[in-house]
Amino acid sequence: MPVFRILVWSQIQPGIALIKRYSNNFKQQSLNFALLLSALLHALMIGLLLFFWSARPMLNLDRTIVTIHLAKLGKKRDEKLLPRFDASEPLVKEAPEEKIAEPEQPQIAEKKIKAPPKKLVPSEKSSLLAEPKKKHVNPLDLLKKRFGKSSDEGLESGSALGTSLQQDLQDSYAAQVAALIKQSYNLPAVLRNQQNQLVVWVRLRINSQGKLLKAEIIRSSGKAMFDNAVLVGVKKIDLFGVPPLQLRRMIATVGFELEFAP
Amino acid sequence: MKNKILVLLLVLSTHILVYAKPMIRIEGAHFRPLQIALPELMAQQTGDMTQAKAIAQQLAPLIRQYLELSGVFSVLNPKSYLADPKKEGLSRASIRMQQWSDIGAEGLVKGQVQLSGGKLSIDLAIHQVGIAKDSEQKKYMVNPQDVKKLSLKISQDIYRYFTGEDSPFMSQIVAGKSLPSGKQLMLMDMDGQNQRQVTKQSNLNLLPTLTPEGDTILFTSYLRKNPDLFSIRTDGTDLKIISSYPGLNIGASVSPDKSKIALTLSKDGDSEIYVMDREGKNPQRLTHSYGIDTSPSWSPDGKQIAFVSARSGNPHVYVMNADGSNPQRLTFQGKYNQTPRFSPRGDYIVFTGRDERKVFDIFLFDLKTKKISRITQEQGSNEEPSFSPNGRLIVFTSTRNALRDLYLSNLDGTFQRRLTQDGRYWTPAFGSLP
Repeated sequence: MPVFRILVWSQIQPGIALIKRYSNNFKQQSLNFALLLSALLHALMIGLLLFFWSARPMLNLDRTIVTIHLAKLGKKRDEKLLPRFDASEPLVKEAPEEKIAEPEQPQIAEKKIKAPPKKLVPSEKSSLLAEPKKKHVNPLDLLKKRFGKSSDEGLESGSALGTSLQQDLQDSYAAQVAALIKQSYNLPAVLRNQQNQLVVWVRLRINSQGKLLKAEIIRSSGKAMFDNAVLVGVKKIDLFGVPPLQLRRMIATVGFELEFAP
Repeated sequence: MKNKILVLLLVLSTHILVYAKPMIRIEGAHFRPLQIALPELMAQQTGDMTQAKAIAQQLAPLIRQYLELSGVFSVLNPKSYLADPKKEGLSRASIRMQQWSDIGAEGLVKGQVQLSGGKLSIDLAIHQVGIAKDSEQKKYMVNPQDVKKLSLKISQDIYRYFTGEDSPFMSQIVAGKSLPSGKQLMLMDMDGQNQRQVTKQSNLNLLPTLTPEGDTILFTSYLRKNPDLFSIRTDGTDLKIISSYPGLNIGASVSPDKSKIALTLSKDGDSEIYVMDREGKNPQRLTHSYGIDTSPSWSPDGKQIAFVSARSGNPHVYVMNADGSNPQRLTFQGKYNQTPRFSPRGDYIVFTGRDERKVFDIFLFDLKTKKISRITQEQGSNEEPSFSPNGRLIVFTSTRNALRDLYLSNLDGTFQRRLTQDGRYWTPAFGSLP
């Protein structure tokens, strides 16, 4: 069988060699193919990733649309830095003396009076001493009483007098009033020689119909005749024009100041 | 500690809020005469009541006239009074101020006259109507013959009470006047009344000016056939020659310290401004230009002299230092500006300017703002202004009523008053009473 084998082998040998040769080639080709296929798949993956990443929408349009109305508000204040009105307190405080005087609460008053004096730590003493001063000095309480809730807003600068819009309106109205006064602004000629020295500040309070409620000197010139002539001139004007709606209360209660010089 | 600082800052900021300067300033007021009521003075029941009443009746109209003439008062017509002055006293408590206020009175003057023992005694009360406790009481003791002088004194006190400064009442005016005997110098009270002729020696007397003492007039006269500078006392006596250089010796102006005279001389050919002493000695030439230099006027501090110069081709107003240095041209408008006069207050120079219609008018140069304002317009030819000693009035000549008369004006031209009626007046000059 060796011959056979030989023959077979001889018959098979070229085939095997061919197979071997082809198998070697195949191994090499398959590796190359695998590598090529892998590269293609990676490229595909990267391509898909890039495609889906760039095609993703920036905004979520599925969300519900919320309509916002912009409103002009003052800067929120840091309570530690600039104490404002205590929201827990009523806006218009009643005078504490009135409460004490009420007949319904005599016991409370008695209790307070009879309470034994408590020894105070220095820090407590200072805080207690500071409290009544705050109540008497702080003009914000007065403003709070006058303006009510509307004064909770303020200028970004921290002014308690109101919003910048209010200030603009007030300045505009004051300018209107000043122009009206200037039309008939005349003084006795006897004051001519002192025209460089005289200045008087006048506060005007005007009602919602534009009528003068009060004109008062808040800083005198020192010359009664000049002060008087200015007041008389202002009081002669019948109507100053209706104040802006937002300012009517303030212009009638607090008013605004004008400076007069000859 | 932080809390304390915050409280302190808060308190400070509230103070700043309270005392913040108002945003809007109103100024530029129109000045109007002060409304004043001056009821007839009351004769007291004691002494010679008949004569006291006669004097009282004379006094009130005279005082009213002077107050009106100042340009700063408007005297209310007695017919407009609501209150009965006879039922009121002098004191504020006895006066119903509201009734005076209702007729627009801002000032009220009340007085009582008493004549006893040949002496006239006047009690006067001056009130500001709208202002509580602002009143002044005055008492005068004079000779009954000096009613006019007394009215001047009372007017002066009323003026001073309301304005805080001297009145123009205690002043006089000297002016040239064309008379049949020639051009003579006339002296009169500031209201144009009580005229008297000062010069009689020559038929051509020009450009008079009163010395600061008020008792002497400097003027140019052709008495010696040359325009020489003379001085004469206001009563017409003591005529003296001051400067008699060949050519012009004109336009004298006495320095505020009374030591020098500035005038125009043409002894060197061209008319130039010189300064000499009061006796006419030691002339020092101040100007050296080729054009005419004339009409010097001293500033109240004696440091400057305003004058007219044609060095730029046309006559214009200039000012220079008292030693002639640093001449500066003030007027650039118009082609003919002349007769500048410094205000006794030092704030203005008044001058005559010829406008485009070739009519002369009075203008005021504000030395602070360098602006010129017009005092007269379309009222004939207005020339030769001169300030009152208090600097609040100007006297000038005007042909607005055909004749060349003397007129008074305030500094903005809103008050103008004719002083003379018979015309032919020239070159008036205000001066103080001696």
